[in-house]
Amino acid sequence: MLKGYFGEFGGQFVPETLVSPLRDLEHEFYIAWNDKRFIKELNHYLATFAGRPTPLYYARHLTEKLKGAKIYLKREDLAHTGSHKINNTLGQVLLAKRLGKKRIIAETGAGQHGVATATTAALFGLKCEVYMGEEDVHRQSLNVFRMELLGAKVIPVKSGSRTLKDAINETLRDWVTNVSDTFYVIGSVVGPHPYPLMVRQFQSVIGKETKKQILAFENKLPDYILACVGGGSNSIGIFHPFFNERNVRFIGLEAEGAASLVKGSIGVLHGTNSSILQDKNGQISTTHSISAGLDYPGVGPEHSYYKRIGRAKYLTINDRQALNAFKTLSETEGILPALESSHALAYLPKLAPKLGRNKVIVVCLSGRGDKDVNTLESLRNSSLYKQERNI
Amino acid sequence: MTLLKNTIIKILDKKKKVFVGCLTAGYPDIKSTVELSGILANSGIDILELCVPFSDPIADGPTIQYSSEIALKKGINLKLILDTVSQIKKRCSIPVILMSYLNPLIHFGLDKFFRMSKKAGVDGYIIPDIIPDDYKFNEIKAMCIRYGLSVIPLIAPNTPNNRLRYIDKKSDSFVYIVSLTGVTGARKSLPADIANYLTRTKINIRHPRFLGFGISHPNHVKSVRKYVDGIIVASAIINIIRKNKTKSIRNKKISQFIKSLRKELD
Repeated sequence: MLKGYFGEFGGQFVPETLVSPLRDLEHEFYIAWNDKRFIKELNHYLATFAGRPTPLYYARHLTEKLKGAKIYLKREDLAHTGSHKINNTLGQVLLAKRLGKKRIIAETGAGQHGVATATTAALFGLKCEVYMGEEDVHRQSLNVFRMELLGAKVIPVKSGSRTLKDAINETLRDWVTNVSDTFYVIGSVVGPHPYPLMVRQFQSVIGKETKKQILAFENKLPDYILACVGGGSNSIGIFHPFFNERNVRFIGLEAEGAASLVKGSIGVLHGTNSSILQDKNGQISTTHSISAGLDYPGVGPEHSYYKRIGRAKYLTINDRQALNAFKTLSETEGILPALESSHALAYLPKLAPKLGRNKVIVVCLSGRGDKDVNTLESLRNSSLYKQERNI
Repeated sequence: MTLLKNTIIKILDKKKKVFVGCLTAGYPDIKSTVELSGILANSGIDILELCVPFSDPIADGPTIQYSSEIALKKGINLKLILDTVSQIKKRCSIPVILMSYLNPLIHFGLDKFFRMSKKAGVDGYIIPDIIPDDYKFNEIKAMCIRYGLSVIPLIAPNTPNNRLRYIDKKSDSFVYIVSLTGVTGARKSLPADIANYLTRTKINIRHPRFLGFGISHPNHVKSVRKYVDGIIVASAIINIIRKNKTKSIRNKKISQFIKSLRKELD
């Protein structure tokens, strides 16, 4: 495989100004990843600050309701800041410190990565600015306030579709401009090399823990792992440590209105060659999903590779199915899942009943749903929600 | 020798400098792009650069973002841009280069597009999101050599000396010297330490070096002309188009602006 590539996917499609910082980052990442002191420090913060390991929870009521395979939830919603994003921001901000950078910038969609970055920057006393599409600023206002409380500056992005894609454009422009003192903490397994690889390594803690935990509970590996896919960091994080376990099947669930893998074609967006949603002229499409965190027309190159070689299967979930899954988990297990994670849960009614009771499914519950209560409240009287109650 | 190389060599042989003027293809509309190209050529530019609009122009500032968005809304696409180039070439004989992000080209089909663009009269390409280290650059370069097209790489202030030499080796007609770390767009002033940077490029790059990003005033040209072989001006021209909706005034102001820069350049 070419350096920086997963099969034909990945690479470094960036302006020349970013070549130098990307090389520095790659170099520092490899040194740090093989440095016992760095790993020790990272693990220390993951355990004492982020609250890892997160539990693997046997969802007994949901299992009984669906009358099939045993369902386990990997509780990333219980990590500090409410999602798996903290695993990555701790790793990257520690690298930023090693590189002597004073200023942190990040993009955010749902706001979860922005909150995790703001939190980590506060922990290490670094200046933090977060770019967020104007549309997301409105629908995730709670997270905007959280970031501000943590001392970060939130910059609304008014260009293009005013969502995650445009927030990434603007963060890249900031980085190109302030390249000497600024570190760009990318929130997913997207962007130019080494980001997809580096973010995957930081998120692999999810899968590594899951492996140990499921073996302790079941004395075997899971038959299926389900995870939602936007950019694809929680899914790669839980999939990757099982890559060589060929009996463990991976299913990635995309939002129907932003299904880069299921409905996209090959192209270059935000520095990487992957599957993207584009029109007939190669212009990037605008996406729509009820979940801001999945509202992205691209996906990490490693997912495109998993799809190409048949290692993972990718399917779509629509807004209604995701809402239904949200309600089901809330009512049966007392857990409010993030709307993103609800996309992974939404596949359970199709999969679990078809499998025998001796089979095991693990779902990556990537985040908690508190941030989505405003969205849900606004949908209360809409047809989407009402029809839902009848199902 | 290609038209582009020939044009550059002739100008430099006369101890003069090369002036590249840019428009966003399809902004404010296709007809105006053709008309404005003629005005730029008659007012003193040597090479025309057309920016191909893209939905996500990460290397561009507000001016080109705006002009690209308008052009896309009006339905511009690669085929129409090639038609536009053909029309421009019928009116004036200067070289035309396209500045395009990679994705629209890939989606069209690289080989097919380069073949068609040569026929339409395109002379070269600036692709701001590909670096010479990537295997795709070599693929593109091989195709462009086959069709007699130039591929123009960019260098930045933080490009180290050994890399300047490496990029120089990958060049054929000229090297695009990005004046600052940042995106395209008119600036009040160029970076204070630009002379050191430009001297460094002179020592390490054998191909002609044209400076772009931020140049928007005759004083800028005056301060850098002795360090470089040419200048590239885009956003400052597009800003004039944006500010002046009346055609006759717009055309006159553009002509005056180009002449004012040309005067400092020579």
